[in-house]
Amino acid sequence: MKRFFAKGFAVLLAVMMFFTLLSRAADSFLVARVFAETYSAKKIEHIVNTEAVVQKNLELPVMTEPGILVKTVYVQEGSPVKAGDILAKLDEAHLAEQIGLLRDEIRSLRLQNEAITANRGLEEEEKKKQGQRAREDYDKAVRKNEENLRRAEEEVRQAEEEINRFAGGAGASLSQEESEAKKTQLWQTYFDKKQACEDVKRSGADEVEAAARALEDAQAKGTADPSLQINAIHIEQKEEALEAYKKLEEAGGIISAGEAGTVTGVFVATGQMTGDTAAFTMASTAGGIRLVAVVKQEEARYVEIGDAVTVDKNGIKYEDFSVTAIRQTADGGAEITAESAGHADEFLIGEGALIRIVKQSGLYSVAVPLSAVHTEQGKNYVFVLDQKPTVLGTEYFTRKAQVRIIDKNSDYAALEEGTLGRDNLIVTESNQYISAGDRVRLQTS
Amino acid sequence: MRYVAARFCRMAILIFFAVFTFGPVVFLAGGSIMGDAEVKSYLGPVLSGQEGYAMWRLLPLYPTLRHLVEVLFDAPEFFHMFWNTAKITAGILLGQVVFAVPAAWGLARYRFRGKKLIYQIYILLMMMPFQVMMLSEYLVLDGLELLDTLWAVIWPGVFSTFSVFIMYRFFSGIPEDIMEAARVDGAGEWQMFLRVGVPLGKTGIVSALLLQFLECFSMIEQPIAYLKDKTLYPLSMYLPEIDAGRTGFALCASLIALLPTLFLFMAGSDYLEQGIAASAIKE
Repeated sequence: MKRFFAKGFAVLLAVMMFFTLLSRAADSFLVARVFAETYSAKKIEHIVNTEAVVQKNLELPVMTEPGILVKTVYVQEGSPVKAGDILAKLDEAHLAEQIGLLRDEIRSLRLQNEAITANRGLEEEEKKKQGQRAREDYDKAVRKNEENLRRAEEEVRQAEEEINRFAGGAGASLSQEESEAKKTQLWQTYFDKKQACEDVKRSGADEVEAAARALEDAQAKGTADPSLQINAIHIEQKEEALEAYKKLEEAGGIISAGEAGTVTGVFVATGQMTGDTAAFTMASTAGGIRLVAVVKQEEARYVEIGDAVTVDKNGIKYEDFSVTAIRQTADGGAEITAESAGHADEFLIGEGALIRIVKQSGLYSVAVPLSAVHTEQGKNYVFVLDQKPTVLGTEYFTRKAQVRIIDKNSDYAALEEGTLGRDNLIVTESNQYISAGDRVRLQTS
Repeated sequence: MRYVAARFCRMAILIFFAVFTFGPVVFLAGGSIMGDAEVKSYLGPVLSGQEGYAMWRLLPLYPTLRHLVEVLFDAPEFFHMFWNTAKITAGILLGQVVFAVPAAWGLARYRFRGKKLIYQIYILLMMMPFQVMMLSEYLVLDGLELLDTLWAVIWPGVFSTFSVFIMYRFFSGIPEDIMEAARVDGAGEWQMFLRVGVPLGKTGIVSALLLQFLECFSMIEQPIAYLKDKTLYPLSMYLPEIDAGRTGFALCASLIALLPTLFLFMAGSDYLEQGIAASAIKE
């Protein structure tokens, strides 16, 4: 029995050794392993990554002459074209016909103008003759009026002398009654002559006025007739159209792209006439590249006009883009436009690319990896490691420290100063869920 | 009839005291397989100031091995401290084999001037409580720069007078004739010690070491006084490290801590009886 207990004691020691190893292994497995570091001063970089689409930066019309029959259209909306590519072909016979019609119209207008010019010469001559006649009539009326007026005034003067003579004694031989009758007669004659003179003066003035009006009418210019100028304008326009038609005819009736780009609108169709407006519209990349992207609300506040943008298209990076416009979207995000003056021939309208905007904050004195910051009931905290002597040696225990985030990105968070000590080890990563007061093992990377 | 009555009375008294003696062990055994809630419901008035009186059940209502699993798999510190205790105990016992056994042999077998005085000093030192010796031991250990090391506990234990006292008793009991015979046969002093003294005093040596083992295994004052580094704490200081809310766990840990001494006690009970008896014999 005693031997049994003696052996039992030895077995007990062996069992204790076994469980010593087992408990240490279990402890090693169960105790959370954490990475920790002290805070550091850091600039927080806000990186906005998003997909963008190349959009037209400059839309240009492709014009052609109106009223020509379209024979074939070679492109459709969205087709990428290079400078000189054929967009459509016009019917050459119809074009030649239109040229012929234009020539006829020009000839007709020119003939009209010649006739108008000839008629105007004749009218001018007639008018000149009428003017001369009116002048003669006017001069004649003036002279006649002056003569009549002189005669009437002479007669008034003679009547006046008769009265004076009679008053001077010429009628002394006459009786009183005869004298009175003579005197009355003389005065009556005087008044009649005076009246006649006034009448001559009035009628003469009327005649002169009538002659003057006739002269004025004769000298008046004729009514304006712009038909000659209008015809000249029409001729000029038709000649220009004719010239354009001729060029089109020389080109074989082909409408081609003036610049590289993408067809954004087709306004002609085979078998129809060309119109007055553009036959095609094209988005050209000649004015540079424009990329449009939508960013989320939380990222939108970091983007500003003028920010540098890195564009990644199929692994090729372009660094010379910048934000030129920001428009808020309905969901609180933002549609940003990035442009570059170059690379016109390296992008196609509608093509996708990745854009990256890096915005760096000022220097924050307390910054920790974002993985170190936890949130509970709207409050942020970090786990700080405290060293405590234990039976197993000096071990680390977690402690919650409330913090306030000033700024953050996907990697780091800047914290308000004063809540963490300079030497505090802050848990940044743990292989298990940890809570305040937990014993943890510090891992070194 | 009178004899039977006396025997019955003796048995009753012994059983009464046996119940008191085994009570703590039964308490440990029951508590170690009892859930925390059940332990708290019984010991609440003692542990957390609940109203009423503490009570106990021999067998738990809802037995569980949770605490045992916790101790064995989730308490590496328990085993760390167990092995600290083992180191201290082994160190002291080995030291006593090296130093105390020859000292006891010398005192028991040789006649020299001042022997009685030295023996009296041994007795005196053995009677002194630890608190009396603590300061002087502390100063010596500090001077030797042994504080806060396991040696600070081991060395004072090595030179414990109690073992010398026990072994002295046994060595003194070896008949002088046997020693004379050895001398006649040409044995030297070391040979007499190793070939005659140690075998004949084996019972005393073992009983002294067993008693010392029991003392070392439950040693608590010396570690508190001389050890600051928690990594050096022995198992006797494990229970104070356990939270008050983990009573079941503490009881289970205590039960496991009891096992080594229990095994040794059962294995060496005869030696212990003789050692205890020897310490009680009047010179």
